[in-house]
Amino acid sequence: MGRVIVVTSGKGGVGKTTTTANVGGALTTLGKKVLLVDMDVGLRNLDLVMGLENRVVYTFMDVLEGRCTAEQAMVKEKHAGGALMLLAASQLHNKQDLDLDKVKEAVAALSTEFDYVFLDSPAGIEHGFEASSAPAEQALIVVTPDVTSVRDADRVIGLLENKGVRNCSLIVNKYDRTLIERKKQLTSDDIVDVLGTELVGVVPEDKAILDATNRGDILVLSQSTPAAAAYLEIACRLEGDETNFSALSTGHSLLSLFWRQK
Amino acid sequence: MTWLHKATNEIARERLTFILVQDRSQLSPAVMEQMKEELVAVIGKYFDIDKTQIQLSVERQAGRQVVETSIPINGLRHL
Repeated sequence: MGRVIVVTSGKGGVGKTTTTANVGGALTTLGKKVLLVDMDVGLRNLDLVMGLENRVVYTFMDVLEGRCTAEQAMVKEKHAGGALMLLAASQLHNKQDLDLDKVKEAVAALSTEFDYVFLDSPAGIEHGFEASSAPAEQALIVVTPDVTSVRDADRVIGLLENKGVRNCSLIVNKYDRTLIERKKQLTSDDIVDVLGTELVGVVPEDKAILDATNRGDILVLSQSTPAAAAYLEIACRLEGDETNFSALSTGHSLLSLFWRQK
Repeated sequence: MTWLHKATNEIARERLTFILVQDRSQLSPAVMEQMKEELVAVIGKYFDIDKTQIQLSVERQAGRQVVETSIPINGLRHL
């Protein structure tokens, strides 16, 4: 059985989808087989971030409602040689159409074929979030260093705890060292303290992410940049290797140096 | 120090800490004050306490919420 992980945040626009694509991509570089499921019914975007928008024929909703098999619906990512698969969300349905029991059943069946299944949750704490967290044993909370995102993350962590998802960890995204040095941005320590939740990654602000998204490439599979190094560190930590947080250190981590040379 | 001179990330942290106590407890500031007064009434029967320095927070520890209060005492009451 693979691990089922929900990627969520409460607040929109903090980078859930980009994080899902890159953490999933990074795990394939460690030899893992990964499935990414877009749970944002009606507002799907993971296909676009992965550059697969023209290859989607069937969606996860089609699988749930028996119109096709999971194998027919899964789309292969371009660079990972079949190790990274996408199940897209339906644009023709509403989030309310997700049947929680069916979602749990389908995800449990899929998890037997992968090392990791990531559920990319929609923003908010309504039904789409419920459906994304119901099958999950673990949660990655994406948070940006601002008061609104941290407050929403706190709410989401509380809701996940109530549902029995106690394995929550934080990914601090869009981290800007210049702003930290000027004392204009919450530090990752501040966020960890306030939320009382462990840290699994710090992803620096990196313009290369925008370029990769524009092209429809997953950054970590196409370029060596500071953010790509951070995603790789998250993958290592999920695999149990405690690496340092290169975005927090003044120099470059061994991992990021290695990554640069590739 | 006033907010004018404080680093804004410090202000952000203080505001967050404050609002999260309310979010987590789902108690309004008024109810929170009332609870503090009730705590003062009970604990003050046994200890001479410093009412101005009472702190109350709701923290997350090992996957659950914990109410923490800090009530400094000036001395014991001789009952």
